[in-house]
Amino acid sequence: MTQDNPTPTELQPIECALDRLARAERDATPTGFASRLAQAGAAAEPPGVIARIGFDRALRVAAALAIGAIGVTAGVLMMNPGQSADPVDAQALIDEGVSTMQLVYASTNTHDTEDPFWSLGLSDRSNEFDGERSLWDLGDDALSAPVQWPDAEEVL
Amino acid sequence: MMLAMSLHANPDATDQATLDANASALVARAAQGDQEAWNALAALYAKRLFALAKSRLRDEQLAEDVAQSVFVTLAQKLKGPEGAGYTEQGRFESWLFRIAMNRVRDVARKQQRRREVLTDAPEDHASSSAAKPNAESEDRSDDLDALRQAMRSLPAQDREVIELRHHAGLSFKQIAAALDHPVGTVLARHHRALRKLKELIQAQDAPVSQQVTP
Repeated sequence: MTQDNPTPTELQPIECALDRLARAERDATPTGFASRLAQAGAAAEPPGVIARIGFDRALRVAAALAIGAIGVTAGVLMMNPGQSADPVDAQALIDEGVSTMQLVYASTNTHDTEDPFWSLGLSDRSNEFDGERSLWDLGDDALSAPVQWPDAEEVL
Repeated sequence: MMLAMSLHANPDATDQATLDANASALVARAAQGDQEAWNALAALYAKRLFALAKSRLRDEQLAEDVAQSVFVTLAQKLKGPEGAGYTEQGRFESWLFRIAMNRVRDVARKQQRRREVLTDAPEDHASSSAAKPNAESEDRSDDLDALRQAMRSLPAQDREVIELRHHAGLSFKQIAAALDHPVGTVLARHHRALRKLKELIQAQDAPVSQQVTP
């Protein structure tokens, strides 16, 4: 019993019995337990970020970051429409048989599609070309679209 | 190491303030990864943690697991960024045994739920069967067995005060800090628990006829 013991006299035998019981429990500690405990303490690593801040909070932070990233990407795309399309190698298309006029038409219709050459049927179907195509091949939509004619120098 | 061993060998004779100061010094060294400091801390607290856990759980293996997990938590708190998990206020023991008591409560709750789901058996029956494998290592004296039995009848809060006081060897002030209760409340619970234990043991000792007939 420690020094701050205010126990009344009639209860002191019970307190002494409790001390004996506690001593018996302490004496029953398995051999080598202290060294195992020391090893567990010395070998323990600091917890990871998720363990430190808790799984729920980590999930909320990850969700907020994901939403932020989506928002930033959307903002960038809205500020620069059409910039995400891959650049088109015009010379390669001409070599495949696409006429200059078709290229000019396609280049004037890039405001509403990521792939300016989809309207020409060139995307993913370039292997089907075996000669020069005309605007008639492009269908009614292409024919009804406004066409900006190239300068004579470019055509020639 | 020698210091810790001498403290452990005769804790009753050591002034509590000196013990706290020495524990704080060990904690500071352990936080730096000093293996000798960890050995000393383990020598100082292994038996007290084990006794506290075993008193409630009545299972040697579970008591070992609880004590080890307390030490792992202690290490993680001390080794965290700038010792974020622990602020030295000269109350290391209260803090350590608060962690231990929380862990014991968690395991006891799981143990109770498992018993209810698997066997639907009452607590006393289950705890006596759980104690059987370790029965040989326990003190078989009748009075201690009677005391163990009586402690199971105490309300959980009163029992915690008894276990922290006697098994963990804390002062009333330390118990108050560990449980976050006023010292007066702790003293009242301890007194009430002792009185209740006395009544229970007297009832066990009395012949059956005396218990039935007032």
